[in-house]
Amino acid sequence: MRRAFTLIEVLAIILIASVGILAATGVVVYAMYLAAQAQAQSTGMGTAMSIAADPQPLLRPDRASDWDASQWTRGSYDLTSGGAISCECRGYVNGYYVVRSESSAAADVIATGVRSALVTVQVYDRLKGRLLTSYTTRVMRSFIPAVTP
Amino acid sequence: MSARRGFTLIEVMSSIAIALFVVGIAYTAFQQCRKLIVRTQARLDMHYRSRFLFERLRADCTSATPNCAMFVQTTARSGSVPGSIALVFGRSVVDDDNWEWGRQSSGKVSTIRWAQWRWDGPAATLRSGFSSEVREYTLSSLAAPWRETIENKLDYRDNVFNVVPQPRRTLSTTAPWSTLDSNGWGSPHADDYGDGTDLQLQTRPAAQGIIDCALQVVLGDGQALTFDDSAATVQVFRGVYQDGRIDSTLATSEPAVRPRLVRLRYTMRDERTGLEQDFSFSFDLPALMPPPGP
Repeated sequence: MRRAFTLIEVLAIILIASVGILAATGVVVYAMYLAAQAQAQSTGMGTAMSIAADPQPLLRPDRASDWDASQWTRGSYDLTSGGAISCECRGYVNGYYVVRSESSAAADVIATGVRSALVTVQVYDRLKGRLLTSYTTRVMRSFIPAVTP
Repeated sequence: MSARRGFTLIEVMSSIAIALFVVGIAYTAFQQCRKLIVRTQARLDMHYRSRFLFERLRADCTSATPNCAMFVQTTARSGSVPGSIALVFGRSVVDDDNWEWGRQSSGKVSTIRWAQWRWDGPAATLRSGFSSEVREYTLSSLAAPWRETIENKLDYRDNVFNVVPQPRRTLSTTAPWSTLDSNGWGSPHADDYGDGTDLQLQTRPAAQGIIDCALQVVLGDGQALTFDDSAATVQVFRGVYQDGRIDSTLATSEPAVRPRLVRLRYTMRDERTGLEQDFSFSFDLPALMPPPGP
């Protein structure tokens, strides 16, 4: 009278178990997503506003390489130029991957060495690379010859 | 007679082994999930606390008055015991209590208050606070000539006077706290409100678990001055006149340009999990010139 499980029974068990495991995994993934969203709501915008104001954030000396501001510091962003100029800085700040773009068109020149510029900062999830928040503002820039980088 | 029979020993042992294996995996997964949740909560908590610090320091910096002096004072680390960093500047605050002035001027009245941000390294705490909005002085040691010239020749010693706060452009480069305490009406008194002693008393914990901190002040010409607990320093930045001038005679250590940006970096540690997170924020200060480029 004894018999083994049929194929249908085994498949049904595997299906039910899979649904359960996927549901549990989904809950964990969704919780991580919510945590990232909450984190972005807490300091994501603050980080974006901060980086918009300052393309050279103060980092720990041993983490200085986390932020690439070479386009800003090497003088390629020439404020004395009469044409369009732009520069981009990127790296890891406050647990996010941040991209800062600054551009100024020829029409933005107000006087020699003084011009307005459009700054856009995008903050990404460090793990998933998902865009969390972005911030755009316009700033004034002036060229000071005696500046010490 | 029934054809059913019990499980064999092999079947029972196999079942127990499989059950133990499944329970073991489930327990490990549960523990990992729990650990992940605790770490996520700790990280979120640190970010929430940092948002509070960001919003608060940003509000302070945005309303900093260029015609008030600013100073940074650090104490040096001693072995494994960290030092401290204090940032003090004047800021204007809308004074909702001053209804009489508000009525007369048909608008809001703002008063000047001293703001302090201080990293207390040994306590791993970042503190902040304002001085009281009214400068209230107790004349405890009025000199004789002053006493004689007061109307009706009354002796006003031990009476309390309210004085409108004025921007203090200059501070002693060696002892700024004592300059803040000096009120010009007599010796500094413990009951004086709105001065340096009052500011120290009003400064309260804003965030804990700050195990490392550094501050950078960027001047109007792009020069950056870094302050941390590697050495004891006092740096004074003089306030400007209403027309933007700065004094032509300055102490050797005083820069001839105003700060335009404050950079703050700190490492926050969660005590439960031991998780550490670095934070870095920059804050624009009101300036008379647009910020410089590279």
